Amino acid sequence: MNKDVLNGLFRPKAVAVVGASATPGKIGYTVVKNLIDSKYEGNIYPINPKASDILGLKAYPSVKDVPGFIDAAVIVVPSTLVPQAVIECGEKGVKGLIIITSGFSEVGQKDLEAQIVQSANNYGMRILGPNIVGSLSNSDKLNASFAPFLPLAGKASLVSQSGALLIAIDAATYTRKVGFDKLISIGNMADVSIADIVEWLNEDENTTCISLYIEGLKDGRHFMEASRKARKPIVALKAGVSAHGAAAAASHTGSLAGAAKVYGAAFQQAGVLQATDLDNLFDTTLALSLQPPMNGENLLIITNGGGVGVLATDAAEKYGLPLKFAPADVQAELKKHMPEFGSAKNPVDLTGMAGNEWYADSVRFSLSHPWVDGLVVLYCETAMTDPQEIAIAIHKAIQESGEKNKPVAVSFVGGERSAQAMTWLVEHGIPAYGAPDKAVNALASLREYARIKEMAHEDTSICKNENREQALKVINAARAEGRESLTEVEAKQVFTAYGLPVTTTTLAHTEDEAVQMANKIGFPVVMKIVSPDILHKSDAGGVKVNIKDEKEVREAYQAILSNAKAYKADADIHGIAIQEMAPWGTEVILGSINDPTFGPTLMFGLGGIFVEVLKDVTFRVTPVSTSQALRMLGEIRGAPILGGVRGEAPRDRKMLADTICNYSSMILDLADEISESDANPVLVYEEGKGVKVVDARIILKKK
Amino acid sequence: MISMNSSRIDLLMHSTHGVAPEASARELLLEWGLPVAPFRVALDLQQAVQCAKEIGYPVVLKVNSPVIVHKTDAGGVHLNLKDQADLERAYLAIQQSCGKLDPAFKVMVEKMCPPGVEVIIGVSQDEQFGPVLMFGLGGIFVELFKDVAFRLIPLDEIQAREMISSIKSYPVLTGFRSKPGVDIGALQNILTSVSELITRYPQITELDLNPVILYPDGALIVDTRMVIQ
Repeated sequence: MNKDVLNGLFRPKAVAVVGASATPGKIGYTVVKNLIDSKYEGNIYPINPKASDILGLKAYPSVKDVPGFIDAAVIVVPSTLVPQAVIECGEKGVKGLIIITSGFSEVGQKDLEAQIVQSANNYGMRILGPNIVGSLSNSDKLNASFAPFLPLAGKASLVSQSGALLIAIDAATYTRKVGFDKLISIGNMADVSIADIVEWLNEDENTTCISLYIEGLKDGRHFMEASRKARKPIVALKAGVSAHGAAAAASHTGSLAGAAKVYGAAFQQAGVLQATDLDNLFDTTLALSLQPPMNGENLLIITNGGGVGVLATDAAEKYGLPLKFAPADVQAELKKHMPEFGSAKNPVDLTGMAGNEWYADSVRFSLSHPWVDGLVVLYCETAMTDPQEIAIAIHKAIQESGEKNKPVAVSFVGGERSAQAMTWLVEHGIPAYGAPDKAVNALASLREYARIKEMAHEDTSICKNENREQALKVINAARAEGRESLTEVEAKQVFTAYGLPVTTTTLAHTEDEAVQMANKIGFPVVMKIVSPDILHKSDAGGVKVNIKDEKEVREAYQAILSNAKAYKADADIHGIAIQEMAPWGTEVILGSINDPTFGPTLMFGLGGIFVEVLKDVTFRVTPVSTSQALRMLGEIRGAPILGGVRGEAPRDRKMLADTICNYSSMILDLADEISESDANPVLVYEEGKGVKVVDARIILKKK
Repeated sequence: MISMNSSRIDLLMHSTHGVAPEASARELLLEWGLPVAPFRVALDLQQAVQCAKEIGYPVVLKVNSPVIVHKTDAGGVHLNLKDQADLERAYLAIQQSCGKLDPAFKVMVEKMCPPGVEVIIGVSQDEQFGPVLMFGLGGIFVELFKDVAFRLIPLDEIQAREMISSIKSYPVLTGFRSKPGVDIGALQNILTSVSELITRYPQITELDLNPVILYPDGALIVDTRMVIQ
C-alpha cells in the first residue's frame, strides 16, 4: 500500500474536477461548487474542453493543460469517456482518482471497470469508486462530492458502501449531534477496498474511530487483517444478512451458515464491533470516537431519579454489564453527597434534590475510585435544576478527577433545555443520549471493544498434523471418477490424514467380505450404505447399528442394499461400510463451508436436536487455534452439557479443542479442494478419553 | 372438558393441605380426565408385588410419603424394574433409605413408560395476574435453553395451540428429519384441561407435571407435584 498515493487521494493539496460544468444541476457543477463552499484551501482545477471559467475558476481543456500539480482528480464524465480521462490523469501524474461516474460493474460493465483499474494502476494511481458520491473531510475542508455540505465536525470517520445512505448520514450528523471528520463513499470498490481505507484511517491523525456501512466485502481476509492490526476502534453495520442462508446447501454446516453468522464470526475475530442497526451505528460511533475502552466489568450509575435508574439497571443486564453493588467505602463516601433517603448502592440515587454540587462531588469521587471501571450519569430534568449547569458540573468533575482511562456516558431525559445541555456535553467530548439504556449500551460497547481487542490478539498458533499428499490422492481419485463428493470411507481417509480420530471403517463389497471385516473389527459393529448418490444415509434406511453377530451382519447387508435400491434405484453403490461401533458419548458436530468472502470457515455445535432445531452453533474463520477452539466450546448455549450435567462427568474438552484445531488445518490446507464438510456426529467422551468422529462428509469444490 | 367426578375431587381437595402426596395428586388428575400413567399404591412388599402384576412389568417403584418431598434424593425412586426379583430388591432399598425418615412409608408402583418426547407443564401464581401456565420441552431444554412459554389461565384451545407452537424447539414436536412427530392434540388437551382444573379449583396454587411423555399417539403424565392451599 503506497501511503503517499492514498494521502493524495484522501487529503489532496490540489484537486481537478474532470467533467466540471457551468450548468447548475449538473454533477460537474455541484462538485466544483461544493469544493468552493467547503472553503477548500488547495487549488481547484475545473476540467472542461469548452469552458474558459467555471464558478469563477479558470477551466482547462485537459488535466494535462493544468500548470501546477494535481493530487486527486474527481471524475464525473460519462462512463465511456472515463478510460481516456484516466490515461490523461496518469500522464499528468495525478495520485488518486475519485470516480463518481456510474455505469460500470453495477450494471454489468465489468470489463470496462477492470480496464480503468488496470490503466490507473499502470500509472501508480489508485481509484476510489467508481459509482460513488465522493469523499468529504472536515479537517481538510474538502467536499469532493455531490453531497450538499460537510458533516458535523467530529473525530469518527465513516466509510459507506451505499451512496444514498452516505448523503443521508451527512445530513443526519447535524440532527443526531454525532460528528465525523471524514465521510468516504466507496461504491463498487473496484480498486481501493474497505480494508485499504481501514489501514489508511488507522494512520490518520484526525480519526479516532472507524465507522463502516458494509453490504459485502470483496477481500474478507484482508479486511480481517487490517482490522486486527488497527489501534483504533472499528464499528461496522453489515446489511444483507437475512436471505443468504436460504440457499440450498449439501451439508448441515452449509445450511446453518448464513452471512449473519459468518460475518459475525469474522468481525469478532478481527476485533470489529458489530452495530445492530443504523441508530446503534450512530450511538456506538459517538461513544467510540469520544471515550476510552472500558477495561473492567464494574459499571457505576449515578442518577437523580429512581425510574431512569431502574431502566439503566435493566439495560446493563441486557447488554452484558450487570450491575454490582459498590463496595462499602464507595457507598460511605457517596452517602455524604445525598440526602438521608438517597441510595449509595448501585445505581447511586442522589434523589430529585440533587443539584450541581452533589453531581460534581459524586462523579469526581467515583471516577477516581479504583473499583469503578466506567460511569453512566443520568439526569431527569427537574423544576429546581438547570440541565446546562448540571452538564457543566459533570464535565468539570470529570476534568478534576484527572481520570483519562475510564469511559463516561450521560443521559439527560427532558425537554429542549436537556437537549441543549447534551449537545454541549458532546461538544466537550462526553457522549450523551436521550435515553438511559442508550448511555448504558454505549459503555457496554466500550467494554466489548476492550474485550474483543484482547481476544483478537490471543494465541493463534495452529496445529500442524497433516499429510496433504495422502488426502489429495483420495480426492483426486474421486475427481477422476467425475464425482464432486466423497463417500464416507473416503472422507474419513482425508480426516485421518489430518490427525482426526475417526472410527475404524472398512468397505465391504460382498456379504462374505462384510462378515470377515466385522469379525476383524470386533462386534458390535455399525453398517452403512456407501454411495455418492445417497448423502442422507439414515433417511434412505441405509444405516444399521449395534449389529452383534455374523447372522445379523448378513441380514443387515441385504436389508441395506434393498432399502438403498428402493430409495434410489439407479444409485451408484460402492459397497457397505463396516464400522466399529463407538461407545455412547456426547454428540457434537463439526463442519465447514468455504465462504466466498472469508474462505474456509468452521462451525461447532452440539449434535442432534441442538443443531437441527435450536441451531445452537458457533462459527470461526480459519485458522482456529486450540485456545480459540476452547472459547468456541464455551460460546454455545448448550455449553454446560460439555461440562457434565445431571451427574455426568465433564467431557474431554481439551481433545475436542485439539480436534477442532486439526479440522481447521485440514480445511485451510485443502481450501482449493473442499467446498463443504461435516463431521457429524463426533462423540465426546469423559475427560482423558478423547473423541471419535463417527460420520464424515466432504463436498468438493467444482473445478 | 367436563370434570369426571367432582365430588371425589372435592373430597381430595378438602383432605389435603400443602404438598399433596403424589398418589392423591395423581388420583385427582385422573378423576379430572388427564392421562396419568397407570399406578397403584401399596402398603407393603406383598401388595407391591400384586400391584406390579396388575400393571405389568417393567415398573417403577417410588416411595409415597408426605414427609419425603424429594424422593430421588432420598433414594426413593427405582426405575425400569423388569421382574419380581428387581421389585423386591428395590423395595428393600427403599425400606433402608426411606424407612428411617418415615417408618409409615407407602410405595407407589407405576408403569415404566416407554421413551418419548418429554415436556414439562406447570402452574404457578403471579402476585398480580394470578395463576400462570408454563409449558416447555423437558430436561436440559428447560434447564439450559429456558425454552418455555407462559400464558395466563384460563386459556382456550386456540391459545393452547399457539402456546405450543411458540417454543423454539417446536419442530421437535412436529418431527424433524426422519424423526416422527408427537400427538400435539393430546398435548393441547392436557394444557386446556389443566387450565380448566385450576379455574374450577383455585386452591391448587402450584402444579408440576414433569415429565409428561408425548408419543406419536397419546401422552402420559409420569410425575406430578401439587400444592393445595
